Amino acid sequence: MITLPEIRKGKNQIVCLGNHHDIIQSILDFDYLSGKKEGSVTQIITARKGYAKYFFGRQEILIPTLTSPHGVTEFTESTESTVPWFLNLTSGRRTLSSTLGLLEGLTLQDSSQKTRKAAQKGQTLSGIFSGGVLFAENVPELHSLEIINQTSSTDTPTRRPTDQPTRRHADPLIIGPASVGLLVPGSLKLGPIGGITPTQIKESELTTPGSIAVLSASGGMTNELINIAIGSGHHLSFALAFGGDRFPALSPRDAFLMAESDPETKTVLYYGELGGEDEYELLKLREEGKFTKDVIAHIAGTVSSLFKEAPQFGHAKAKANKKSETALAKRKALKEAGFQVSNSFSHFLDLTAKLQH
Amino acid sequence: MARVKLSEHDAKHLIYPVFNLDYQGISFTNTTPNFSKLAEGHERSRMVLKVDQGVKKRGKQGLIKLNIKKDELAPTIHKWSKLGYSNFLLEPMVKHEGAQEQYLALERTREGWLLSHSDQGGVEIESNWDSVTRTLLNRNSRLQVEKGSPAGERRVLAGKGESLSKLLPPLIKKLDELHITFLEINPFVMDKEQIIPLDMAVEIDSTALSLINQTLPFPLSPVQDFDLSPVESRIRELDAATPAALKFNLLNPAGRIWMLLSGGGASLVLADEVADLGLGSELANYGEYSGAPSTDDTYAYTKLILTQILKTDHNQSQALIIAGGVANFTDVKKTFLGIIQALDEVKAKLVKKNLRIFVRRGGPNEEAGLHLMRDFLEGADLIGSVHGHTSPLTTVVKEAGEYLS
Repeated sequence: MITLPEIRKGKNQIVCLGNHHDIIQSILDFDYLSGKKEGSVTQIITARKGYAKYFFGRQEILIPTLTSPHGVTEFTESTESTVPWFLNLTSGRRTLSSTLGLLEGLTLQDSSQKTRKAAQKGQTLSGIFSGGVLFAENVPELHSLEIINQTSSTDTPTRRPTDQPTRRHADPLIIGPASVGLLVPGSLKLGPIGGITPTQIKESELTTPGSIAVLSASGGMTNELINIAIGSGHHLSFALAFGGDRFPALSPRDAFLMAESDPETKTVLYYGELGGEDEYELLKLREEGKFTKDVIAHIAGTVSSLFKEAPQFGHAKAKANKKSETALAKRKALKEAGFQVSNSFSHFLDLTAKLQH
Repeated sequence: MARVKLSEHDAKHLIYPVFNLDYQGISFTNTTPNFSKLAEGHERSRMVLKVDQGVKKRGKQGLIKLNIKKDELAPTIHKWSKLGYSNFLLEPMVKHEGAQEQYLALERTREGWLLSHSDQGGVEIESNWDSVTRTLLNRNSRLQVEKGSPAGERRVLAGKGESLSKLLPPLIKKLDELHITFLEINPFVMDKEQIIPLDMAVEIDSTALSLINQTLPFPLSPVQDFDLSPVESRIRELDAATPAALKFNLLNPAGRIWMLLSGGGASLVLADEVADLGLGSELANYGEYSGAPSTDDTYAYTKLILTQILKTDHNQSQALIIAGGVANFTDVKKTFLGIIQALDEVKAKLVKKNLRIFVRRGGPNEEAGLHLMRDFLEGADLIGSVHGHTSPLTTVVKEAGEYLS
């Protein structure tokens, strides 16, 4: 899987599936404010062939639009330093077909000899991409599992061997569904993460790199945590929303391993919710010595106990069907594993205010 | 949306063909004409009547009537209707001994299907939980399910007869086809080689409902909670009619803290904070809007919540918290315009209710949205506070609590 230093060093380029104007413009604004010479969105796959008008700083630019992935050839001629991404902005029903369509199309039709060989060897579907973000909510569970199946190099993606040398494209970094994206300050904004207006990007100082990683199940809370980190006088090493679905392609465990292997990250701010048992995987990481950095975690959902029957909250996974899935049980377990865990959100604010510089 | 329950009738209707069984249950409601005649033609077999609305532990609550006589049908329905139930199921009864009852459940997990089985199924399964064996059927068996049964399930079902093992592959194939995420058959009995389910519970992935319904002769719809208040029902209708998400649970109509929240995560954090500050008994509702609702959506949603607030019959002070995180792409001004419009229509009545409104929101068009909201609340004499993204998310909860005390 691609690493954060590679993302920071490389030239990030993005193919968008779906022409979502505000999100794409915000990526270009981020690129401009980061001092890049050109925008990172190179092509948009949408209903019409032609060009889409956008702005890079004050200058109007035209981004080529294509009707099928077969025309995406730009990356194949690019240099070693290019880091190719996709951003899937289509609806929940179309996320599976459009993602596999893009990856299959590029594996079989257009990618270079070298990439095709790598993909065949790894027997996974990644085409030429280092990774991508799935933005839509309401992606059927089976579709998420299908994407995980088709793009992961082992049968059980949560237990990837980490000591094997990573083949760059054989094991793409897929984030979502229901993810607002991945943000690496100054380098990459892959999704609406951090906000879609220039004011938000400037005020949240999203172009300045730092040492705090924000990992979150919720899109809105990702932004809230970014806001808290900046408010406490820090900057971000990276931020990502793995999404509130039952089967996130990038599990919280994977996200923690990314933070562990990133030399810039010192502290992780984590937002999780009741429902599912992903947090117990984090505990194992700690016990096995695979995750050693500081964590301040908040697990939301204690209000669930006020209801007669366990309610379904906003995100698809946010429902505690058994005791181990409740917010309280998860908080207790994480605390015992040595994480800093807040008892309330106000407490979380207190803990982050005490962050060392 | 997420995992939702199907009625027992729909569950059995879908699953029985896998077991080569013909399902003969009759589903009806208390408004079905002549339901007392439904048992006609079944005189020779004994019948069982059940409430069919996704309710747990029906046996213990007296919501199952075994061996029901024809003339008992109407009085039983009448009695259950009075308790608020409206959907029922009439089925032929299966003769068997309690000791033969087995338990089977399949739950979809990231790694594969989690199979649970016990020889001691039935109403007491929870006290016999130690007897349940669990096996993970590898995720890829989902794709290879026709090629034979994985080693794990053979181990679990060893000695239970080959027939059950043979049933699993086609069963799992069916569950995947229908986007079913959870199946519980408790209890079932084995009659020689034949499995006979007595009770069945199914959860389905609601995000796939439109896909599944294209493949079925009749549309599936998840069971509704049986005891919804009018305001909850109306908001569910509203939710179904828009691409945005509008959620509302009435917790305590006499509570004094009302929530009009946005965002799946932030709404949870804000509701938690009410409970964490020891104000849980004052929490009137939980709810949230998300997915970039239109101005019309937030207007209609707010209007329904305000109607409920105005129904309260005490004159103690009340607080309405209009709050959310720092939005990524939901337009603060657009959503606030709808909320303000609904507030404006009943502002004088709200003032009489001693209501104060506490606001916190960030995101696109934050400044314009907050400015509009502050101007309105000040003019209407409803202002508690108005905060933007630079204030912590949960400050408004504290302020609301202070106002009430």
